[in-house]
Amino acid sequence: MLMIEKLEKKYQTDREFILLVDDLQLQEGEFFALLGESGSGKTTLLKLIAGLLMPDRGDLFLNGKPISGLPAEKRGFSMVFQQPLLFPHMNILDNVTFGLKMKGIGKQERNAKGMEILKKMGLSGFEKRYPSQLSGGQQQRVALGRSLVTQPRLLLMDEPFSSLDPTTREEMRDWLREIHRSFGVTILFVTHDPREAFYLADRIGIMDEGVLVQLDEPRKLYEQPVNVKTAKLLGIRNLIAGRVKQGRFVSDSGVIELQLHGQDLEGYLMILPEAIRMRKGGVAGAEELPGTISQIAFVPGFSSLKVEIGKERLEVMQRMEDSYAWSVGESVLLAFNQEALRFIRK
Amino acid sequence: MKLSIIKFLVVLGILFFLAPLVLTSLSAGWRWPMLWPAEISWRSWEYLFSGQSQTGIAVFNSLLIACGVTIVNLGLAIPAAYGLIRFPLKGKLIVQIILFAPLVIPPFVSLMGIHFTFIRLGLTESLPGLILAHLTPTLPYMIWALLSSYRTVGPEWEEQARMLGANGLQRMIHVVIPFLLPGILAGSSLSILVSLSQYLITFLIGGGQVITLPILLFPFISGGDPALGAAYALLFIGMAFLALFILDCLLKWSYRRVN
Amino acid sequence: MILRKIFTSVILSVLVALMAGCTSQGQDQEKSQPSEQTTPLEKSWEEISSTAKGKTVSLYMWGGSDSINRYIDEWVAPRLKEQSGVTLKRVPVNDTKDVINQLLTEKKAGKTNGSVDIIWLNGENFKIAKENQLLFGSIAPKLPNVQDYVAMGAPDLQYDFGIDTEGMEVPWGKAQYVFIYDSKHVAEPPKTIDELKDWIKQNPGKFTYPAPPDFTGSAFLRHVLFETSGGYEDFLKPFDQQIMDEKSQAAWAYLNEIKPDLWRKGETYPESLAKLDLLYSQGEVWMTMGYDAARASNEIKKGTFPESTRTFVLDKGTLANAHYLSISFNSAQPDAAMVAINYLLSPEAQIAKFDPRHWGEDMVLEPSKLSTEEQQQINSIDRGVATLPAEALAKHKIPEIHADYVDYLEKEWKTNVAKD
Repeated sequence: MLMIEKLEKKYQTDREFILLVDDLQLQEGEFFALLGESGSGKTTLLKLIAGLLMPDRGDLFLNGKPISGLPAEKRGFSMVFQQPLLFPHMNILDNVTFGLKMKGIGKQERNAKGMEILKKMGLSGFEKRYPSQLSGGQQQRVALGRSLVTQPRLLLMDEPFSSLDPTTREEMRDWLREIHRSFGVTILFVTHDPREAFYLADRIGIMDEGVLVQLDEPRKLYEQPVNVKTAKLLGIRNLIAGRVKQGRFVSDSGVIELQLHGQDLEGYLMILPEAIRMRKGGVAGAEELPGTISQIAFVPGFSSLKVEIGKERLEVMQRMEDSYAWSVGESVLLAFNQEALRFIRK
Repeated sequence: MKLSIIKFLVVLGILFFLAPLVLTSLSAGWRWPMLWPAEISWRSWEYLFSGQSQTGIAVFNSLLIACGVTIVNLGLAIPAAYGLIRFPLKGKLIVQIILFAPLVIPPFVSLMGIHFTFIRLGLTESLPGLILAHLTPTLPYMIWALLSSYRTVGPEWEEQARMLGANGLQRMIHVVIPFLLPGILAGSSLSILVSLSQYLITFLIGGGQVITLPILLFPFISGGDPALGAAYALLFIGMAFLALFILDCLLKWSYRRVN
Repeated sequence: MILRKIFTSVILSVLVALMAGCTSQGQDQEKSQPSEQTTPLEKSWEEISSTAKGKTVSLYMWGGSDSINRYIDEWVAPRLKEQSGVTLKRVPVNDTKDVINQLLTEKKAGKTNGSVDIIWLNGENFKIAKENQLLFGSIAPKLPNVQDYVAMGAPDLQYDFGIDTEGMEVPWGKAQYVFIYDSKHVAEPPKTIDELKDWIKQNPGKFTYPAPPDFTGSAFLRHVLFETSGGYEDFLKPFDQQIMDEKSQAAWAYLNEIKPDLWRKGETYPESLAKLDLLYSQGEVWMTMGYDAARASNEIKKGTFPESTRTFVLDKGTLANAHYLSISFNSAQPDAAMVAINYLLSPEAQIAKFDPRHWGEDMVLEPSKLSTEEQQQINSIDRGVATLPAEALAKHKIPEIHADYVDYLEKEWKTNVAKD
């Protein structure tokens, strides 16, 4: 439905960047996440789509019609910002119905719609309160309701949960999935948190220095990041610098050597933590590496361990077992699932 | 409880300062070191309320000019302050210095020139001319009050309103101005008070043909009729309070109307 | 952005509006001369009176006295309206200088239909107005009441603080300097400055005068100067520093001689007339002074001065000055203004002004030129026990001298007498 063509915009953070998006298409009803570090241009792209910024070059099309010339208020998009930005001088109902009022819809009709949306947001009974009387999560829900009530063609969200505490953030995530499904609205969601992106998005676009470097479904992205920076951005930690030579990978430190098919190249070996099998120390078998546990953390259902192999350090996820508890300083042997090993070119 | 004590003290303080004025206005031949006026006389109040004294028309004109000045000030200062805050204007500092210059430069420096120009334009001796002339000493206060108020409205508020479909005017009315209300109140109060107390500008530009309260009040104060001076001063204080009270009500009312 | 352009232009227009005041002032003054109709100065009084009917004139006058305001608003205006159909509008002024400034700017800007019709002025303001041609012209010869009742040639009326009025302003009222004393303590008031010295020596600590440049104190110096140097006449000539240095010696000697016997041994002087009045009303000193002949009576009435208060003038006369009415150069209604001024100088208006119930100020009319009936009326007005009869005052009158002398005396007093 939304199509971006050769969009270009100079923007400034700590230094000057040029945002350049050659081609991006959003599908009707899709949840699309833009993932990137701060300064990567993701918010700039969002504002260009919103119409809050005007591109230096390039075009935007909505269902085939160019919208580059339209001001933000005429595009029929909605946006939820990092802060709830509820108008402090209006009560919740007036906030929620603000967009309808701007469209000139009569008071009765807009109040009815407002009450309905508040109910869907789980905020019935709050309509007469003022924003300051609500918690951060409630406020952000009102902000979302306010954006949805106008039935926008596209809902833009700029890190909407980043100012919330972690528990609320997780609740809001679940709840947003629900909302997305029940409203069927197309969402463009900007975030720097890969877990949030993976959890919510149908597709993820990765921004770096103003350029859309990779765009794919979450799983594919996770399994094959286009470069090491992207991999890091996606939260992948086990990245070991080295080279492939005659079917074997050797780390630069020399301590890790594993069988790996492929061309002779320099780059990084990516080992997904859940693809590592670990057993108590003893005599190492073929393709098994000895190491020492240096840190243990518990994630419900799992142990998240750090294992040191010489100078290298790997993150390992192991399912919790009642029969045995790992301990720090213990010697272990690691084996790797060949399918889960990926090599990323330099 | 605490609040009512504070209120009580405030009222007491005001009365403490007003009491000598009230006594003076009622006195006949009150000289130092007499503790009380020798005689109580209603002379000054009788004169003040007599048909000849022009008090009524003076109060009316004063308030009318002050209101007009404040409305024009708002019309000029809201966009001017907005421009100064929002847009990276070249030579912004110079613009600001010029806008605030009347606060520092004594009025008589510019008054002659304004008077001359207004005569040429046929603006003297008229209410519109006086309203324009009163802008000089009042507009800087209004812009100053609004500038500090605008700093509380980050651009994100307007972006949010845009994303809800509000056009420029709607954003101004429904989002920006409510944020500016404290500044509007402060600026309008200053604008009204400064306008109400103008003497020389009113006299020259009004050519003596537009009577305001200071025009009546000043001769009595500087001419040594303390009783009448005090009576007019009390009337002036009452008028100023009334104007501020009306302003407060008006702003609250319009605020409720908008939302 | 379009918005940005709009705001830029708004700011620019505000600036232009603000700076309009500072724009050039010197251009095209000549274009706006009034189209020469017959000026009222060439018309007969009948013509003037008939033109004036139904017109409104503004009288710009100091507005700081309710009794004066009431005299104009409640006594003069309705009678003027009834008798000649002219409406008189009083415009309260704080300082006549403001009106002069207004007229100066109007002159520069070429404003022809001015709203200042009549101004109440004298002294320095008249000097500026005359020098800058802010006045309508020689109106005095046109006004019947001036011709009939006012002695225009008298020095105290002809010269306004040393400036020849040339009929451009018409005297409206007079003020004369009088000494005020408490008859309980002063049996025989002095008649000359010398006698005053003797009295001071006999009653040490009971006399003082306000420190110049206080207006009244400064006038006291002039009286001393006149009597110690042989009369006021010499000082009507243009100012000469050298002559003045010589002539003032005797005056400084006099003032230094009385100094040890003044209030507080002359170590300090009251800084204003109000302070001197206060000392007098408390009985600390037995004399005060001032430019208002009726003031002592009024203060007795108010209860501030003792009942035994009386006034005296010097045999050789005390300073008297007049205040005047004039018409501005651009008055829109000069005919009506002349009719109004003429009425203000009519016997009935002047007698009413003389009456302390209205204003209580000296008339400018010659009592001898009035009808017997009017003279009786004047005599029947009770101006209070402490006020000298009009005749006695009129006989002991000397004119004001030029401001240069006044400045000189005030300055020299500091070095020769106060020595601080």
